[in-house]
Amino acid sequence: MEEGRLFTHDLAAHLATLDELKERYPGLPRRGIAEVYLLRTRGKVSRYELGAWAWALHRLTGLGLVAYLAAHVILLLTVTNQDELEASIRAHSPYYEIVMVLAIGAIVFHSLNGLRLALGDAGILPMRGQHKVAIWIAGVLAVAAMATTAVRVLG
Amino acid sequence: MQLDTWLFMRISGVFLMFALALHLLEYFFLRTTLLAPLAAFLVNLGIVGFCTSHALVGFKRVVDDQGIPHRAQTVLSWILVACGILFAYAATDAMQRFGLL
Repeated sequence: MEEGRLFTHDLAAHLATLDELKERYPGLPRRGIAEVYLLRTRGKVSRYELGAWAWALHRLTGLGLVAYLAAHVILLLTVTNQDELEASIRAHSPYYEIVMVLAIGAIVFHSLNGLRLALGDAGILPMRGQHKVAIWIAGVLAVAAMATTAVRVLG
Repeated sequence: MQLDTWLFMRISGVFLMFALALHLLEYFFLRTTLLAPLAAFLVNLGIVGFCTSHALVGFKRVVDDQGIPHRAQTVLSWILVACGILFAYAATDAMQRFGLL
């Protein structure tokens, strides 16, 4: 694994699987996500702290969206129109607005961070500083989208 | 069978970003569809297919990083394929009933 590649690509952008890592680093025991990240960045987490957060958030929002998508489709199966859908959601969950706000934030952050990774892989964002700015933009826009949604659904 | 394909995740991810942005814009602000019927049909079909496969491939990627043995990964891949087919069928059925497909 090249050091330069580590500077411009965080873990989520990297193609190496755990098996490939085991070939490069003999003796690697079975590890969790955080340990794999530490290994892939050679323990320099403090220097890549923002990338580490972005990677963890990308995973968390991805898993959250899988669950949200499944719930969304299951709910859609039980109703026949929009009004019935919203009534059904409110009947089943008092946290409808909170879930909606979190889902919008997750979608926006996951999308923009994914776009950053794709641009990084394409060599369009080669500098580490550019990735930092892109992560901040993704985070700020996600918060803005959540605020807009909160005003919309709570107002 | 390896489901983790880099190009697929990139293409489906970029498609979903624009398609979901349109979906949310229509849902929250316009309450109507902006696209012509054929385009709306294709976008909705794309959302169903790509959302399902992107989510499941991403989920498998997370599981892969936990160091699951190869045989278990193969079994998991096929379970996810089956889930994907069921999920896509359910989503398509729901969208048809909503008049979106």
